[in-house]
Amino acid sequence: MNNRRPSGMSTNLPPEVARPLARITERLVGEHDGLTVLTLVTEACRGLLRAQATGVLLLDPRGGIQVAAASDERARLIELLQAFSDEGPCSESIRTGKIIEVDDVASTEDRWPAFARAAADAGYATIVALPMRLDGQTVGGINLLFTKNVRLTDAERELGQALTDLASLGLSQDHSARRIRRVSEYTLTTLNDRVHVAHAIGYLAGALDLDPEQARIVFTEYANSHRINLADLARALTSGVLRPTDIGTQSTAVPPTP
Amino acid sequence: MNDERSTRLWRVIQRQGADVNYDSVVHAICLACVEVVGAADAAAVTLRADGQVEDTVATSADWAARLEELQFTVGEGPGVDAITRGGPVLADNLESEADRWPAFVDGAIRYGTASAFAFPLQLGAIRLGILSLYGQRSVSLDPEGLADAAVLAELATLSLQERASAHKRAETLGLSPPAGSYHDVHLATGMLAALLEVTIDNAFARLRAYAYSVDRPLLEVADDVLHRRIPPEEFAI
Repeated sequence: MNNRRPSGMSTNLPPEVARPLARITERLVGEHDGLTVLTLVTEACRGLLRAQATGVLLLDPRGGIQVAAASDERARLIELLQAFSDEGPCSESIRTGKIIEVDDVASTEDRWPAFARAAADAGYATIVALPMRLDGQTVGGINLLFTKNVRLTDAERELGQALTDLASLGLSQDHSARRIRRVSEYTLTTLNDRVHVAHAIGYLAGALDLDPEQARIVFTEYANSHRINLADLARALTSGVLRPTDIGTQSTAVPPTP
Repeated sequence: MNDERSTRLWRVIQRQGADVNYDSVVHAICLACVEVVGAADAAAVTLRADGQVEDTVATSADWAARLEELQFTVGEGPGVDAITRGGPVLADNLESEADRWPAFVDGAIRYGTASAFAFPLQLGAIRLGILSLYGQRSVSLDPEGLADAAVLAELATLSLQERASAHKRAETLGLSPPAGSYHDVHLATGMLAALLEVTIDNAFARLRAYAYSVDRPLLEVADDVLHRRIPPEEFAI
C-alpha cells in the first residue's frame, strides 16, 4: 500500500507511526464498515500510545452505552469496559465531550468507587478517556488503559484525539450535512456486526480447534492482510463462501491445524 | 437492549393482544409500533428465509402489506437495503430517494406513503427478516421513536426465533442481552455451529435449549462450551 513514498524532507518519520494511520485512512476513503475502522483504531492506540489495552464504547441509540471494540476480546476486559459505561472517566468524557485523564486510578476512589476498584483489580493504574465527537455531539469514547502510572505528552494526547476522530468518521460515512442522523443507523449496524464477527470467530475456533483469542487473531490478521472488512469476512465465513481452512492455512499466526 | 425500555414495550405488546401464539405476538408488535412510534402510521413484519419467497407474516394495515410486496417484487427499497446492509435504513422523505429506489418510491407515493423506516430482524449472523414502519407524512424518526422501534425489532426477532425453535417464551423474555457480557454467548454459538455442522441460527437454538433443560444461565453454558467442558453431542436436539 505504501509504494508511493513522500519525496523530500521527511526522513525521520517512523514507519510504525505512518503504517497504522495509513491503514485507517485507506479504509475511510474506500468502502468500509464502522467495526473495521474501530478495530484498527484500538490497535493503533495501543501501539502508538503505549497503552496495554484499549476499548471503544458507543452511545447505543436504544439507550445506554455499549462496548463496540476492544484490543483484546477476552471476557475480563469486555466486562471491565462495560463497567466503565456506568461511572468513571469514560462516561464522564462521553457526557462532557472532553478528554478525561486519570493518572492514578487509586486517587479516584472517593469520586468513582466502583470504577476505581474494578480498574485496580484488573491491574490498571492509568486510564485515559477520549471523546468521539461528531457535529458538536459526543457519539462514544475510546479508553486507553495503562498498567503503570503514565502521563501522556501533549503530542500523544493530540495523536490520541486524532485517532479517536478517525473512529468517529468511520461511524458516519455519509459526508453530507445529515451525517449526524446517519450515526444511529451506523451505530446499530456496527453493534450487530460485532455480534456477527463473534459468531464467525467462534465458528473459526470450533472448526480449527483454536481458543477464541487465537481465532480472533487469525481472523483479524486475515482481514488485514487481505484488506477485507471484518463484517464482510464474518459474512463470508458464516455463509460458507469462505471455509475456515481457507483462513487457517493462510495465516502464519498459529501452527497449521490438523 | 435497554431493560426498562423493553419491559415498557412488552407491556404495550401484551395490551395489543399478544397471547401464547407467536403469530399474535408479531401482529401485536406491528400494532405497538404504530401506537408508540409517532412517525409510523403502519407497520409490517416480513420474513426472508434464504432462497425462499419472502412472506409478510403480520401487518397493522393492508397498505403496509402491499408496500412490502412491492419492495420484494421490484427488489429494491429500504427493507431490501436493510437486509443487505445488516442495519436499519431510515428514509424520512421518500420523494428525495427516487434515485435510490425509483420503482419502489413511485409505487409508495401512489399509496400515499411519505416515509419508510426498515429494521432488520437479526442477531449477528442470524437474519430472519425485516420490521418496516411506514408514515403518511414526511417526518423523521426522533431519538425516542428510533430507540423504541429498534427494541421492538429485537423483541420481534426473539419471538420469531422462539417460534422457529418452539421453546418456552418465558426464557426469551429473560434474554435481554447486555452486549458486553453477552459476547461469549455469540462466540460459543459460532463454535457450536462449527462443531455440530449446523447453522448459526440452529446452534443458538440448541445452546438455549440446553441451558433451559439443565436450568443454568446461558452465559455459564457458553463459558463451558468455549472451554470444551461440554461435549458437543450434549447439544443434540
